[in-house]
Amino acid sequence: MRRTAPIIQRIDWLTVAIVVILMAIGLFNVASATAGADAVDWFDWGSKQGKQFMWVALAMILAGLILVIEGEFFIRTAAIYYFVNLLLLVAVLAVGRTIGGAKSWFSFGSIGIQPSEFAKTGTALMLAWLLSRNNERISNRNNLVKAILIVAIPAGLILLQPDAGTVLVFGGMILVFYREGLSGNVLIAVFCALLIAIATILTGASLFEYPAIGSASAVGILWFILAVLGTFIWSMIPQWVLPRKRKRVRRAVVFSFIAGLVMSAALHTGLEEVLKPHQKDRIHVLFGIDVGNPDADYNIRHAKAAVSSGSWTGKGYLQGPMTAYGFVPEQETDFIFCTIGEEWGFVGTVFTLLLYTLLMLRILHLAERQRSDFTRIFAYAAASVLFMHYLINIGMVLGLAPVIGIPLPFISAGGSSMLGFTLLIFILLRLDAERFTVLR
Amino acid sequence: MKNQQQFSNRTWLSFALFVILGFSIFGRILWIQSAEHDKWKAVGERFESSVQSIAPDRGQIYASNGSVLATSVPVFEVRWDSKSEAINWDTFDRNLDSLCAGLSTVLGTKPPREFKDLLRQGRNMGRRNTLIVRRASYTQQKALLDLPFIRLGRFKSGFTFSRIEQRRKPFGDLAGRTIGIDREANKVGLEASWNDELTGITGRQLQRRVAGGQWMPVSDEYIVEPVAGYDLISSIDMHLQDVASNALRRQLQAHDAAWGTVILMEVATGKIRAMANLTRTSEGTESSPSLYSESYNHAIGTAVEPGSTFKLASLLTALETGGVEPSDEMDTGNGVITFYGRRMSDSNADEGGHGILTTEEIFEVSSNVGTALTIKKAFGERPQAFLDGLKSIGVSDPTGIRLAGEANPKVYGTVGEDRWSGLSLTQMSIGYEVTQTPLQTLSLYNAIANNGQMMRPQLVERLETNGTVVREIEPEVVNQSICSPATLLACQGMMKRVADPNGQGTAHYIFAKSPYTVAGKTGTARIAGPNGYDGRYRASFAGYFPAEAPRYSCIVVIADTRSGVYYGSSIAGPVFRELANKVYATDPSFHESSAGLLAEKAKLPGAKDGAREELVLLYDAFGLAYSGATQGDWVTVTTGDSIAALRVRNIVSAAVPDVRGMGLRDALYLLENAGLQVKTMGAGTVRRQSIAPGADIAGTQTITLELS
Repeated sequence: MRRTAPIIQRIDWLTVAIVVILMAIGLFNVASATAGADAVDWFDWGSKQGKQFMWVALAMILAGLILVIEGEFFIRTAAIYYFVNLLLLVAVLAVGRTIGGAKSWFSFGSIGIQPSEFAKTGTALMLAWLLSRNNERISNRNNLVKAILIVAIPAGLILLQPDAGTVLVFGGMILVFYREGLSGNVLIAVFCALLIAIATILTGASLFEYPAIGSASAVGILWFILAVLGTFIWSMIPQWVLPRKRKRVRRAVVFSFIAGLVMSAALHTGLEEVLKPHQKDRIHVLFGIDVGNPDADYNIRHAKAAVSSGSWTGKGYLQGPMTAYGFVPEQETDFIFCTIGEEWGFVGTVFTLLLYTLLMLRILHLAERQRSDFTRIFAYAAASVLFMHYLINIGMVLGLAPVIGIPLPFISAGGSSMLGFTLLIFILLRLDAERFTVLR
Repeated sequence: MKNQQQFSNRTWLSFALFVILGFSIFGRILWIQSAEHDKWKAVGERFESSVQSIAPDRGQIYASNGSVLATSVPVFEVRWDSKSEAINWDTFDRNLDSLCAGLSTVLGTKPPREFKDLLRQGRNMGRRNTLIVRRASYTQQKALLDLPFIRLGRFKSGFTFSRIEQRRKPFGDLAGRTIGIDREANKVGLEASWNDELTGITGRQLQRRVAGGQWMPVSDEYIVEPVAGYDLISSIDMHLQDVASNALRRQLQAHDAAWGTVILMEVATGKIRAMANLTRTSEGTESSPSLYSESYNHAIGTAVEPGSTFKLASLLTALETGGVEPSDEMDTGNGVITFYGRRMSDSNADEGGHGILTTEEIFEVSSNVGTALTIKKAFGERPQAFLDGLKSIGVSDPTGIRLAGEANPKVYGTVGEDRWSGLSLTQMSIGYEVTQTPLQTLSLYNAIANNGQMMRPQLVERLETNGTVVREIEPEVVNQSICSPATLLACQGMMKRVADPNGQGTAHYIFAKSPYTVAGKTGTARIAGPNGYDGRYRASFAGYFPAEAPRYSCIVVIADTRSGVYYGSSIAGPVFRELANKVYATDPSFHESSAGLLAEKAKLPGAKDGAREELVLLYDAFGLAYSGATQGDWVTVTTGDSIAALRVRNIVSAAVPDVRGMGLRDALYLLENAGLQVKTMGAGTVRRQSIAPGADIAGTQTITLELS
């Protein structure tokens, strides 16, 4: 490949191909989910598939535009783009339209724009810009705080909408931090904290028959186990740790376990005493705890049934009754994977899954072949965002993750996510195309 | 290059994380589609969809005075499915005590202990449809849904509630057989005869089955929209029905009779105002009388030998085509005569009989011998003419009332058919060897009262939907004129004599104190058992009142008294009288003096509040005086003695309008245009509205109007 080859020869066509296939899958399935029992009217521009067609076309135009703009432009304007995004996120809280309980939308007639879908790209650009400056490593505490703030500010604003799903996507940026040198201990600590929190909520919701005390919340058992575990590890330090490190490790162990216990106790008290019953129920539903509300797991039951009913090769395009009659709410958006499962079966779901996995691995591959820190960090951020979307969305449909509505990239109906992801991927492709010509 | 090495490790770790989580999702799909496939397939199959029938609301049956006679209320059958997938047995155990206590309190059918056993048993046996209660009321159902565990919903509790529309008769047994019974098979009464009109159109809608076996509509659209059945306004007047039923019951109990029936008919229209049928359903004891209930519609369903009330038909025929004159004399001798070896006697035969009687007198004293001889004289040589005569006055035809279960009368059509014998002519003349239902007998009496015009008996006045008349059921003439005016006059005269307080008629003492006059005929028919006539009697009285200007006709039949009293006059007569008294007391048209009083004053007709233009149009059209309000759409009317005052009524949009004083049509127009759902109670003028006038209208609200 010549260094001066035209852009058309330098872009990564494999990624483009995957994206286009995903868009096509999306278009067909949105049409099926929208049409219901009727025949698909491909030229009804007012319908959801008609709109989706328009968004795909717009996304293509946007992609073309991005590819002819110098990569340097994105690097220079990263901060501007980021702050404009922040402004939009503030604005949406003020003048946005509330759909499904979240104030996430600017409404222009029949078209809604969701700024949080664009903020992901903005945050990725800003993060890459910060961390790619000379000698600005994340191991520097000052930089770490800056980097965390870059992610936390938009995430915080989105949490106010509230849109927990997108916040989780921002949480996925921790992968970027890790790749750029954040201590693995932090990752482990976050993981442990999550584990304890989930265990607290789960045990806190069930009863246990204690000897002598009688029936009480099972969270006591968790605390007991934590205490025993802490004591055990502490007692094993002489066997496991070199003498000169023992003091530090002892301190760390004591601190971690006390912190864990305090966090668990605080969380439990908060759940039981501070939250109102319906708020508690909402949290319990997320964790699959029986709250006595038959509607709570309606979506998941139907989604699983739809995916399962597809069997190996599916019921055929436009043939799925559950899709046709809209058993699953949000079937053309957040639950589009059901449609794929019902009508295309195992073959369809695995094909889609493979496409995503391939896309992400390809992006990681692109990331690792960069000499430019900016491109690499941006690629990692893009991969994280895609990964979180795919994980939460499909996990939710399959009952692995709580029901948090976020779209499946390029497939779910909706213009904001379509354009947002196009921006994310094609900026990366443009930057990647310049890896031989521009030295950063 | 430690840093480089570290980065490389981190890269691999990141790659690995993506791949592992990717595989976990892959594994999950595999799991759901293979290991859990049957489970989810079972869930999925419940989501099939199909076209379901939507039962329309069955119309109500009203009395002519507006009382509801039959209406549909929902009841709930409650069952428990112990195999419902989502039951959490820990939750079940934890809630069992409070659940059973609750079931016991709400339903009151079993103590908590038994409910507990029932549920435990259902669980152990894995029963899918343990019956908790067959008919829970709407309120009970609401309370049950609030109980612990059941509260979790159909899926997680396994408790299912199936809604059943149950027909209720607010007046209970009163006119029960006439109103009828709505059930799958063997419907009776109006419910059966007017089933098509009451049922409405069954809707069809695409529905899908969701968790718990419930069908849910796929969308709001119907393939066929269900249309509620028409409301049926019957001609029954509940006040008169009440009097008829009570009077009948009292007489039945007093004489311990087997059954009885009363029919009250409006002469000019054939509309039935009361129809009571009581049958002994439990034998009494020394201290308590027998109990009676509406268990069979004798009025239309029991065709029996009418006895003396049939003499009207035979003598009418004799006068009309037999060349008999009212004043013709006939020697009835000592009251005993023998035809073909069969003895026939008059009621006073042991006192020596009546001797010579005119035709009129024969009817008046109900002489069997006289009637038989008159008919024999007129038709002895040509019995077919007698049968043709009877046929021409309609006694051999059913009345054709639209009420299920009318029995056919049996009257010989041609001489010699069936069991015809030489005895038949004379037997028929006094009401034997023929059968008629009480209604068929009454139909002839009514025709006499109605100057010869025979009307079809009618129980339904009109059909309505939401208070709007859909179909008016017009009175139907069966026969314009059953006989010549002369014959008619003669028959009316004879019937008057029967109940004339100053005469010697069989019912002369019954109406001695009545302020109105009655024309009628008594009947005391022997009842045939398996071994012939066995000393049981059926007493009847058929007639009309007031005799001069007949308004109502009525028949009372009481069968098989055990008190030793059995004459039509003394058994059936008093019931007739009691009903007639009530009609007389409550119907203002009977009171000429007061009617005159009303006529003198001639007040302005009252008007309901409503649309100004329409009212003004009416006042102008009838030349009535009115004042006030020359503008505005809606007015309040104050009707004075000579002039009506109209005041503008302000109807403000976005506020609940004041519709009090208006008719339903205007009220509905205003309220529905204001976006309210309207429910009504009663008929007439709006007296009360459940949402105060001027209140803001928020969303879709339902307003209830009380009309009277």
